[in-house]
This record gives sequence, C-alpha cells and structure tokens, in this order.
Amino acid sequence: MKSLKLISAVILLIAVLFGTGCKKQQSTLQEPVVEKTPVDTSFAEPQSFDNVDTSDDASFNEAELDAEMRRLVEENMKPIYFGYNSFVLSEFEKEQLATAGNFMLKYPKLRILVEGHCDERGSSEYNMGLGENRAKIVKEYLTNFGIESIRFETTSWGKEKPAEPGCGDDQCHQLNRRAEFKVLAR
Amino acid sequence: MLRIFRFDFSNQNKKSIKTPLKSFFFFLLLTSFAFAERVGLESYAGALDEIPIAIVKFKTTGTTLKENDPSAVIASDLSFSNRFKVLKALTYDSTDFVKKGIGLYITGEYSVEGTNVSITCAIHEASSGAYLTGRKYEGELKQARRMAHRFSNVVYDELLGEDGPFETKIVFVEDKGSSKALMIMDYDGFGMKKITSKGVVNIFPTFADASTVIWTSFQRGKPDLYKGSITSGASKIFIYSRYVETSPSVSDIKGKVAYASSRKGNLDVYTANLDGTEKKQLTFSRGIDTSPCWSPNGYLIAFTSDRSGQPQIYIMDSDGMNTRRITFEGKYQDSPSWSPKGDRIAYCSYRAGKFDIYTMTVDGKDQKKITSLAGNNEYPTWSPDASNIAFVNRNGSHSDIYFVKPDGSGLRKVTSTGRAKMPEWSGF
Repeated sequence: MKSLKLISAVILLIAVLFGTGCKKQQSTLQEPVVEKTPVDTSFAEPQSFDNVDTSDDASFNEAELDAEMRRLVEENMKPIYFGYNSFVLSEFEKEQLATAGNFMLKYPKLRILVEGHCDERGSSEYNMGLGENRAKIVKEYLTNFGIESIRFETTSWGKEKPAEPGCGDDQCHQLNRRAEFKVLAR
Repeated sequence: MLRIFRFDFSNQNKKSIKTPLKSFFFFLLLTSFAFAERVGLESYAGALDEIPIAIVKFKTTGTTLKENDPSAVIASDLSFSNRFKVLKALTYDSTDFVKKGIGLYITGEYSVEGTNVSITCAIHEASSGAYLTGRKYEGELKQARRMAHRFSNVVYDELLGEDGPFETKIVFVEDKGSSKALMIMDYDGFGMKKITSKGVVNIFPTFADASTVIWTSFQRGKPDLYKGSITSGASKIFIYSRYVETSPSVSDIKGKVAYASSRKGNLDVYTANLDGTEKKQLTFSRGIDTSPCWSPNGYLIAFTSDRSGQPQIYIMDSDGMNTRRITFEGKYQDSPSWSPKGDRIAYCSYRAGKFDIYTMTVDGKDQKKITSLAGNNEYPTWSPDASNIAFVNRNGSHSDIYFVKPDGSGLRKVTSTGRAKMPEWSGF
C-alpha cells in the first residue's frame, strides 16, 4: 500500500510538473506579441506600494491607459466567469487567472480593482454579497499565484452593472456572472 | 341629541381640532373597532371589516380640477386603505345611503382663483345629514392633491383613531442602465421627482426621518452609505470603508441604522447611530448576512443569510443575540420587510421558477403568496398603515412598482416608466 501511495504521489508530481511546463510554454508563446509594440513602460518599472492609501478614504478610480496598454490589459486580464449562485473557479478560469497573474508579474506597477458581478436573478442585496465573494476568490487565487495583496482592491456591483441587461436564458445570464479587472489610478 | 362642532375656517392644521366623534351614540359600533385597534386586540389589518362611506362629488363654481378633483382624491385614498368601503355618489340621498348600509358621507366644495385654490370638506351622518366635522384648506393650486390627502388623514384619524398614510412618500430607484437615480413620489404615485443621480449607481434608499434618506451609492467606484435631503438632494458620505457598505434600514424608535458591511470578511449585519457612531457588528457567520430590517418596536432585526447554503430569512434580537432561522421552504428566500403592525413579515421567495411576494408570521408560519403577476415580483415594502404592500414587478427589461393588499387583492400599478425599482415607504 505504502509503495502504491508513493508511486501515485510521484505520478502526480510528474503530472504537476508537466502541467506547469505546458502553461509556461503557453505564456512564452504570448510574449513576442507583448514586446513587439512599444507600450507605456512605466507599468513595467519596479514599484514600491508604500504610498498606497490603505485608509477608508481611498477612492477606487480607474487609471487612464494608453491604447496599447489597454489592449494588453484586455487581452491578458479577461473577465472570469462563474456558475449560478457560485463563486467557485473552474479549471478554465484558473488558466485565465494564471495568464492574468503572469501579466501582473511582468508589469509590477499595476494595481488592480477586482469587481464582482452577478446575473439579474435574486435580490440586489444578496447579490452584493455574492459579487464580493467572486471578487475575493479571484484576488485569493492571484495572491496565491504570487502577486502581492497590496496590488488588489476588491468590490462588488452585485447585479447593478450587468454586461448583458434583460437576459431571458442562461446562456445570457452566464455572461453576467463574472469578475472584471480594472487598473487603478496611481 | 346631536352636538354639532363648527370648524374654525382659519385653521388648516389637521391636528388642531379634535372632534370627539367617538362619543356620538351612533358611533358606538365604529368605536369598538378603533378601541380594539388601540389596545392591539386586532393586529392584522386585512382581517378588519370595512366602514361603508359615501363620497359626494365636490361642487365647484368655476374651473374644475380634473385628475386632482378633491372628492376623487379622497375616494381613491379611502379605497386604498382596506378600512373603508367607498361609494362614489353624485348627490346626497339619505334613503339610498341608509339602504346601502352607509352611515357616513363626505361632501365638499372648492374654488380655483388664479393659482390659488380653496377646498372645504365635511363628514356628515347619513340618515339625518348632520354635520360632524370639517376642514377648510387654502393654498396654491399645486397643493390641491395634498389638501385632499390631508382631509383623508382627518377622516382616518377621526374614525379610526390612527394616523392615515395619505401624505406619506415612497422613495425608489429609477434604473437608467449605467446610472440609477433616487426618486421620490407621493404614496399614490403622483408628484414624482428626482432626489439625486450624479450619474452614478444609487440603490437601496430608506428613510432616516421625514426629510432624510440613507442609501447606497457608488460615487467612489464602490458601494458606501450616503445620507441626503429629499428636498434639496444635498448629500454626504455617511458610513464608508474600502469594503462593501450596503443595505441600510432605519429604526426611528431606536435611532439606529442597521446595514451590511464586509469590513470583517464577507457581508455581516451591523448597527450604528444615525450620526454614524457606535458601529457594532451583530452577525459573525461565514456566509453572506444582509438585508437587515427592523421590527417596528426596534427589538428585533430580520435579515437574509446563506449560512445554511442558500439564502433564507433569520431573526435576531437587536443586539445580535438569539438568532433563529424562520424560513425553510424554497431554495431562495430574501428581502424581509416587517409589517408596521409587527405581526407579519413580507418577503420574496423563489418557487416554481419565479420570485413572488409572500407574507408569514414572525415565527415563519402561515405563509401566504400574495402576488401572481407574470415575471418576478420582488422588493416588498409595507404602507405605514399596513393596508398595502408595494413591490416591484420585473418582466423582461421592464420593472414597475405595484400595490397589493396583504390578502392578495387590490392589485394596482403605480409607476409606468418601466424603470422603477426598490421602493421604500416612509413611516412619516
């Protein structure tokens, strides 16, 4: 039995190594695109976050990005989608978050607001809580990935800002159950 | 022998003259209702008998007030309440009235002069035509509806010994997509006006007092609580943090606001004074605790929690002790709203593929479905006299406010913009 456990642990380890190996290859495939065009390099400079306002007075204002930086953010930090009344990350969304995490490692000056959103079913009050849980699980994944916690703010819009208002079926509702990334103004 | 009380025509204050109507011998029957109500013997308004009352169309010599006709407004007011059975009549006909079991009738007249109006209203005894009490109101033409509402309140007060709801207001949200404005209207849907918008999302309005609302606004790119004037729209930030601050509910008896905050993890219910001091965390569950709602005496708070896995309604003491779950049926029960009489809670429940409004006793018993309109029926809020429940019907992209009586009868559409949400009735 012991040896069986050991063997399965080794297999698992290999699988994990192999798996991450695959991911690395994927992200290196994207890199040429990133470096081909000149971007706002200031986001790539090393950054200390000592001057971040961590008091309750802080407003969450979105940064104004140049067109290229905006394109890169949209490409690498895509919305994360969730199941009905759920804030569990699917395997697919975890891969999306790995891409977002690598992007944030590459641009250490980015501070990100994670906004949680819900579909239009259920009460606005309850959905404020659900949206927040979605934002927080995304932040948790990315901090576990290795991004400093100070680089995130989380909030919830509940069901007040649907991507697709007035949905009639679940295919449409699905587009509203999401976490979105906004670059915070420095 | 009837004693006749003359009305001082110079006085417009509804509280200034208290005609002791209840001492009249022919009011003995009605008195028993009023007395029962006062001592709390009869607490469920829906179960009360209705008082038959005739309203004779008001006379006028000059310009007529079409939709603001005072007798029409008074008839609409008294019909809204479930305490009166209204007969609209063109003239006083004692035989007909008595035959129909009507013991009382209202007459009046009005005259419009330029931008001013004066309205005289009186209650009479039906068999003899004897004058019982009356009021005269003078003021600007645009106040005509308000004057009629005030007289309806006089009728309510004189006959039932309670404050009438006819000058109360409803705050609500107008959903314009990317922005949501706070709106206010008279209880009957007239006089709609904007309180504030600032081009941002404003939601969950609730009255702090007769002229102040507290609500959730995204002015800082996140939800915080704001406090503002219903007349000027001037507002300032009230309870705020870098977390979610939302869903305010005020107990004027306690002088406190209950709300949901995520400053210690995910949403929990807190209370604070109305100046924002003495914030106190009441719930500590790992689930989402939100939608707090005070009992009318301020002793208890109902709220929604998904600590069991799905949203259900719970009750706790106002200090956070003695929490108990009161709903078990259905997968999703939410938005508790406590009746101003204290005996029932209206709430929203997901059953048979849609949301509907239900009411139940405070221990979760005797659940009654009171809405059946197609689409989702949500956000219940009681009228201050507990005679009606306002709610939102959302069907496709349309959402409007309706009234329904607690027994499910008397459905009435109040807004027709297709964008009205989150009504909250003032108790003032």
